[in-house]
Order: sequence, then C-alpha cells, then structure tokens
Amino acid sequence: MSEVDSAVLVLGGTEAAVYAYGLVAARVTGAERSRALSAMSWHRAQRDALRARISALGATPPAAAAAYTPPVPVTDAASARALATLVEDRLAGQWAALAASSAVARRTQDALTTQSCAVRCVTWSGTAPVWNGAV
Amino acid sequence: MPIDLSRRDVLRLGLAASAAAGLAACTTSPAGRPTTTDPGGPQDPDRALRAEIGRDELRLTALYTQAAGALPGAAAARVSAIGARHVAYRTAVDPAGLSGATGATGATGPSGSTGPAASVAPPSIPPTALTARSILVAAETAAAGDRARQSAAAIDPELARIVVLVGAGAAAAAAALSSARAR
Repeated sequence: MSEVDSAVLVLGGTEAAVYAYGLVAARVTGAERSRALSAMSWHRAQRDALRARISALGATPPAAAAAYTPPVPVTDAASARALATLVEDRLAGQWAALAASSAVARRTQDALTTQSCAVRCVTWSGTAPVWNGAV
Repeated sequence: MPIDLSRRDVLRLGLAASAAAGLAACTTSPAGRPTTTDPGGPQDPDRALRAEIGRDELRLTALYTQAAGALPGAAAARVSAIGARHVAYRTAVDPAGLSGATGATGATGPSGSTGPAASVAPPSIPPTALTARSILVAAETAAAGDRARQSAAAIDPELARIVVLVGAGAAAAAAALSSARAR
C-alpha cells in the first residue's frame, strides 16, 4: 500500500475517532470527560494534518462520513471507555502501517503518533494496573 | 509492598507482542515494496539493525527478570508476564538470533541509538518494589524513544512496521507502570 493510501485509511479512522469521542464524552464525567475532549481535540489536529499530508502527496482527502456506527452500543461509562480503548487500539495499528509506508523522514513522527494512541489505549482500558504500594 | 498489575492488563499489553510476532511472518509490506524474505539472512540489509534491537530486547528481558526478583509472589509473576513481551519482540525483530543470547557489547548500532535501553547493561535493581518499578518505567520509556528512531533506520518497511509496534508496546508498558505508581 502506498503512503497516500495508508494516509487515507488513517484519515478515515481518525474521522471515526473524532465522532467516537463525542459519544464517549457524553457518557463519562469529570476528569474522564476532560480526557475524552482532549483526545477528540488531538485527533482533530491529526485529521487536519492528515488532510494536508494527503493533499501534499497529490491526492484529494475523502470527506468524512456524516455519522459512524460504533461496533458496540455506547450506553454508559463502561461502554464508552471500551469504545475509546477500541478506537485507540485500531488507530495505533493504522498509524504503524502508515509509518512503515511513509517517507523515512516522517517515520519517526508517525511512530511517536502510534505510541500516543497506544498510551491512550492503556489509559482508557479501565483496568489500569495498580501499584499497591510502595517501598 | 507489591506491584499489582491486573491479569487483563498483562493480557492486553501482550497484544502488541502478538501483533508484532504475527507481522514478522508477512512478506508484503504495507508500502507494496518487496520485503525481506529471509529476515536476518545474508542478503538482509537490516541485519545490523535487527541485531541492535535484539540486544536491546535482551537487556529489557534481563531487567524484568531482575525486577521480578525484587517483588513478592503474584506481583513478580505479573511483572514477568509483561517482561515476556520483550522475548516476543526480540523474536519478531530478530528471528535469526543475530543478537545472540548473552546481551550487548555496548556498541552503538546503525540507528545511532544511545538511550539507556540500547547501550548500557541493565542496572542492578535494589530489592524495593518502588525502585524496581521506576527503573522499568524509565527503561520502557527509553525503549519507546529508541524504537521510534530505529524504525526510521529500517530499509524493509515490514521491519519498520514491526519496530513501530514494538515501540508502541514499550510506551504502553511505561504508561501502565506509571499508572500503577499513581495509585
């Protein structure tokens, strides 16, 4: 797959992530809502950068869908966290594929973006590891 | 007092290792360019990089073994399970075993990586759980940065993708361990 094709796939996933975080933010509260909105903003920035990147590669970025159907119903905070986890997990894989197909100069940044998704995936998992203790 | 990583955390963190290991079997790159059909073989232009990362992963495996030794029962087992990811990572990146079994020589590899996970022997971990966890977080964080840089040195795009995923696994592990500290 070419860099532009990979970028289009990531763009699609990112558009879906922005939509998904709207669903997530509606179902969580407090610090989690802030985190969801922050993630939405981050993905929006990635979306804009991807659109510019695709255009620079000589292609036309596809328009976002009007709506997306989540793979699982988002009915409460737990399902919202599950959706966020899934979104970040899938995006991490897509960004890794883009990193591999991208120009070497962009690869490190794409790799770091992959890591950002992976870290958010851990954050949303809802099963954060417990350090019970201390020295 | 123990580190207590949940079983689900351990399983989830292992997904990246599984993905990386599975990807290693592919022969068509996401870029559509031909990939190395004999990873680590004589014609593989990424031999030095594979060896460098393989040595890094061996060091991380040794570090987790040391950390587990500083922890009690169940916590040791869980940390060991996380550390086992690095065995899978090494196999995925260096299936030919170019990195050997005894760890690094300390030489800087083709990526120019000089981070703690890449160029120094694992520190001796004092027998306190908190110190052990801090050292693991630092090592995973360094490894994540190293893998991001090393991915750019890969000639085979499929290897690049694996290295990127390995770096994501390291970043995730650091986040998980840091989250544990916050509790």
